Amino acid sequence: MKWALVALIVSCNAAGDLLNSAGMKRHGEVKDFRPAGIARLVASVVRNRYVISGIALMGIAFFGLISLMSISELSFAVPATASSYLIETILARLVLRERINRRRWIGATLVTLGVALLDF
Amino acid sequence: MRNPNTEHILHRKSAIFALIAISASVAGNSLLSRGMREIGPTVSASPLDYLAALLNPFVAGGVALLVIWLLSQLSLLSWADLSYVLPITSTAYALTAIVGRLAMHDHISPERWLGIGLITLGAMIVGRTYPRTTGGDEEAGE
Repeated sequence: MKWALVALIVSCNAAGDLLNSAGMKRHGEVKDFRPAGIARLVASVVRNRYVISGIALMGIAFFGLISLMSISELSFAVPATASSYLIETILARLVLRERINRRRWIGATLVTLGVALLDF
Repeated sequence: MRNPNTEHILHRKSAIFALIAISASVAGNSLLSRGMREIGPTVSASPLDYLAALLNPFVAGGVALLVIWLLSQLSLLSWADLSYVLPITSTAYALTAIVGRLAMHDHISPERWLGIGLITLGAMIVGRTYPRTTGGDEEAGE
């Protein structure tokens, strides 16, 4: 049960992150952080199909995570679901066409290794 | 050619929003975890069971912080690459691991310290790359 939840959380998070990133690039750079600007951001985000689908997937991942937290310790739940860093970096390159230079690969690899160590 | 001033502003903006996203995520997850342990095991297909969980103040506070996390994460993604944002905000996992252990008065093993160190180092290395490589600016790194 624990690992089925982890698989659900990781795949929904990856798809959600990709959709959110694609949607926010279409939205354009957020520049106004006064309360009215934040309200406008929320209003435009709820009309952005990419972001709405991304948030829906992250919502599923979130319910999966609180379920996982209720049957395991936080120190298992969070690190176990964080195993997706390298996968998401690869998807960012293939799907979002981001240019990932050596530093980013090294960084993503270190983070993945680090998270794997947190797991034990 | 990149304008050094624009580059500086983009780096600073990214650092501020990463900091907000990381703190909201660590505090939010810790509150949620505590709340869910008070409530007891909840693995359910019914949304009502999760709505009922919101009545717990720790769960409610955790959800509020995760809304702040979501807005700062989306703002970051509006100008920075996913492959830039992810490793940097992953320091939240390292911090959550520390907070989780400390809250349980538990010992942090050398392997965990090593993991925390690697995550921090990875985030610092990625943090030195230019935040955006798509949409007109085709070059990553320095």
